[in-house]
Amino acid sequence: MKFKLLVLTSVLATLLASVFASSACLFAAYQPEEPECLRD
Amino acid sequence: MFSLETIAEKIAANIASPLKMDESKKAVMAYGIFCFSQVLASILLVILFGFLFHVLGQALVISFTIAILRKYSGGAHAATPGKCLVIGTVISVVPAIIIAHIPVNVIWVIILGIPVFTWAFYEVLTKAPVDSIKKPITNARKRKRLRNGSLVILGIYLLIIVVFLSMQNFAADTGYLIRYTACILFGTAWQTLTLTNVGGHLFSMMDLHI
Repeated sequence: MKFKLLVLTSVLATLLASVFASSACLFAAYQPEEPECLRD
Repeated sequence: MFSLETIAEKIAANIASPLKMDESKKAVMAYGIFCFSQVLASILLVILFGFLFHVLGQALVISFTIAILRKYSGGAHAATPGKCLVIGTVISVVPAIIIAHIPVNVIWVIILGIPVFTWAFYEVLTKAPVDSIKKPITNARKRKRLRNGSLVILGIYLLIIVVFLSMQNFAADTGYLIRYTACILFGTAWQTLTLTNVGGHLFSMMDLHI
């Protein structure tokens, strides 16, 4: 159960990262360092 | 010290370790978690202070007007997540309070709206997307997509304002429509300012004093 929850969280976090990577910048006025593999 | 970035990294590390993920996947997860928590914190702070000052609707309109356009146009950034939360909340709530307490009418909205949108379209056409060192946008196709997206968003804002102003003749209580229109105008003007060098200097100054 815990393992499934971890997998689900990792999928969600990765999905969110790709959604935020597709925009010019974040909702707010701070931009964290974008991971190299998400650039362009 | 409390830092959303550190917390996101710790959560990502706790997930990545049992799943035997490599460093790049862990970094992507930390980025996703941080971005989500930063967005959530920004919205919650605007809701909290908007509610406290009885300007929840107006503050949210300003916040989302800025954020939606910013997603495509980019713009100046704060130095830290904490400063970003302070600037974002102040820029959404303070103008909402002012707009709620000053007499706003159709003529003023039109007089201010024409130069604001002319300026916004010009800045977006010539500068957007304004990227940052931490997230450079070098791909020409992506730059074009984001610029076009910014223009579409500006067009939608303009359309909403025209519809709101047209409804003046039909709605019984039009005061709130004018105020929301003023909020969209302010949000557009502020986000346009962040695309310019002046906006960049302004952010640097605010970074120093917060």
